[in-house]
Amino acid sequence: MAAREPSICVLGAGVIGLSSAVRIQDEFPRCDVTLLADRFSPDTTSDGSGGFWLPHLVGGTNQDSISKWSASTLDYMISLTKSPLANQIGVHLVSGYSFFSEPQCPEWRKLVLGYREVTDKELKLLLPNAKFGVFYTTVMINVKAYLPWLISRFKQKNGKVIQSRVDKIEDLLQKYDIVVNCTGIGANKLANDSDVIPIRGQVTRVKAPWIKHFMTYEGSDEHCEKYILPGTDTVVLGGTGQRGDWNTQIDDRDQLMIWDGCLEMIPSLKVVHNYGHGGAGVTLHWGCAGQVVEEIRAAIKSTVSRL
Amino acid sequence: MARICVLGAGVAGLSSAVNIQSILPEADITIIADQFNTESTSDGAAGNFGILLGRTNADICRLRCWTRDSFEWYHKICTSEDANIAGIHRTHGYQLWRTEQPPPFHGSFDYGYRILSKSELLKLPGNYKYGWELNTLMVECRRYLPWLMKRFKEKGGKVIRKQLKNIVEISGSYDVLVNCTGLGSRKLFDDKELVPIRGHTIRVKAPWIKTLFIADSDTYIYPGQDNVVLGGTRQRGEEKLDKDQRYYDDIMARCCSLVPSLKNAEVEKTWVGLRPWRPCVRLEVEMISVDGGRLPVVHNYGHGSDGVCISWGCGVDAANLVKQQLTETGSQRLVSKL
Repeated sequence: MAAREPSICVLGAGVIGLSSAVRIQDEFPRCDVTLLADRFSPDTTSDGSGGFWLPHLVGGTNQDSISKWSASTLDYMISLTKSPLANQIGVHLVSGYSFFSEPQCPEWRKLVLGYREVTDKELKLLLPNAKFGVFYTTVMINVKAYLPWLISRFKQKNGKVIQSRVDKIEDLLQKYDIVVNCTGIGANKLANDSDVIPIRGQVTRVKAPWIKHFMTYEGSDEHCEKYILPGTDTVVLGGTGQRGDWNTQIDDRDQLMIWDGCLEMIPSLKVVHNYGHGGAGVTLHWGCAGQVVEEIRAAIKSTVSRL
Repeated sequence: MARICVLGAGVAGLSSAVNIQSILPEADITIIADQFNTESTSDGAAGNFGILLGRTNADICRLRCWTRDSFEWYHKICTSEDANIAGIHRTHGYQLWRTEQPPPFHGSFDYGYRILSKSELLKLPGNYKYGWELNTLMVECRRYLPWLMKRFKEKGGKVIRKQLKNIVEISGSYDVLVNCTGLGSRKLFDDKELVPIRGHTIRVKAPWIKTLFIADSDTYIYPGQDNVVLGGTRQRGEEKLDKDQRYYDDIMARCCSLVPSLKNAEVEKTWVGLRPWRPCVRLEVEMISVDGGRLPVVHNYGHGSDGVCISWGCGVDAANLVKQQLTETGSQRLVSKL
């Protein structure tokens, strides 16, 4: 009996789903890969994110895995910034400061470019309320450009895209040999996984093109860090990190808190006009997609050996 | 009441005028110029705050004061609510070289520089063997000049648009002149030491570029508030202001080899202008004879490529010289009555 190439369905078209689909295609060119999702850019969770590379809120995931996946993602992003198509792809280098209320020694310091602790002079000049700060260079992604770029890569290699809502993964297994579940918060219902919980993020996007640095501040209180991230066309101000909160509406009090926190860091923001959205993170996507590829490779091997 | 005339409305003239107003609030100050805002040489400058000793033409001791005073001023504006209106913002990036270089002069005055490691150089564009990370600011005259002018006028400063052929046209009307005419001093004050150094820049729409790059000191990419400035050229003694496309193509090619995505950036405008270079910046008092009397002229010109960078510090210095002149003249008048 001739072995047939397995058919693969990637469920979800956010940054995790799309990068998985693309990497699977690259590694298994003879497989049929279908992307199935109910929402596509600009309506995915990824689209709301700031698009800033930094391992953040990754729960109890094993540190080695986080380091591996995030390093792979950052290296890939940096290489994309050197492409003549960097703007179409939606990636750019960005440098700036992260301030804290106490000294830090994060694992990711070895992964970013030019990580260093700020001098006392800089601390005094820039954010006297903070006790510690670091300066480094990383990459920001314009998700609204990046996702369409990934999809066009996927389609160019004959990937099929289906817009549809799925209520039971089991139904898909009738049609496909392998299903890659990249449904994010949707997995709470779909995979019946109560360990998947929302961490609510809110951001505001403003027009402030004179801001070329990012600035983040993790204060000593319970609230999520404040951040200012210079995107391609807008500056993202954030944020919140409300565990277990499913509210997808803009909260005015959160808006005010974000605004006040960011104004403290950069007073010239006072003059801008704003319009808002809600968000999450893209730091791990490429590395995770690489992991997915490995898992599929293993799955295919075990499928083949069963024949 | 002292009558002061500032000649020139570029960054040197406006900075001098505003500083004079600040220490002599009673004085009557008039700016006389034939070029304003986008007509000025200052407007073409990218405005990157950076000085290399090998290129500068100022006395180091004075340069330290000018640089320090200027940076303090720009930093104050940069961290205020006025930052974007005044056209001053922070920048970060890399200066790359083929061989080891002495540290940048401005590094002791701005937010700090850091020598790059070999592994960083490998990750950065090009094949450069040496370099440093820059943390500085950009002063964009497109907004900065009108911002200074507004402050000047709000405090009662007067402005006359006029092209002067000779100092005698106005020498009778003022007690002190402040000469900030850049290359105009060749004719107006017969300065034979001034040499134009022609420069070309291209401004492109590339809002994804947040990082500045300088390579071999003559190729640069400066992310401005509204566009990205690409450059440049340094053509000593050249004066023609026609826009030769060959120079722009060459600039674009050099910048694209550093940052390939610039290839797809829309060109907003090209510029050509003349840096007013002199073997030494002229910031001093000269007594000239007019109408049988003596008229003090405080010169503040010939800044070469450093004009925007040290403009505020030079303005402070020039204003102090003006005040000194008025005090001395006043006491001389008293003495001669005895």
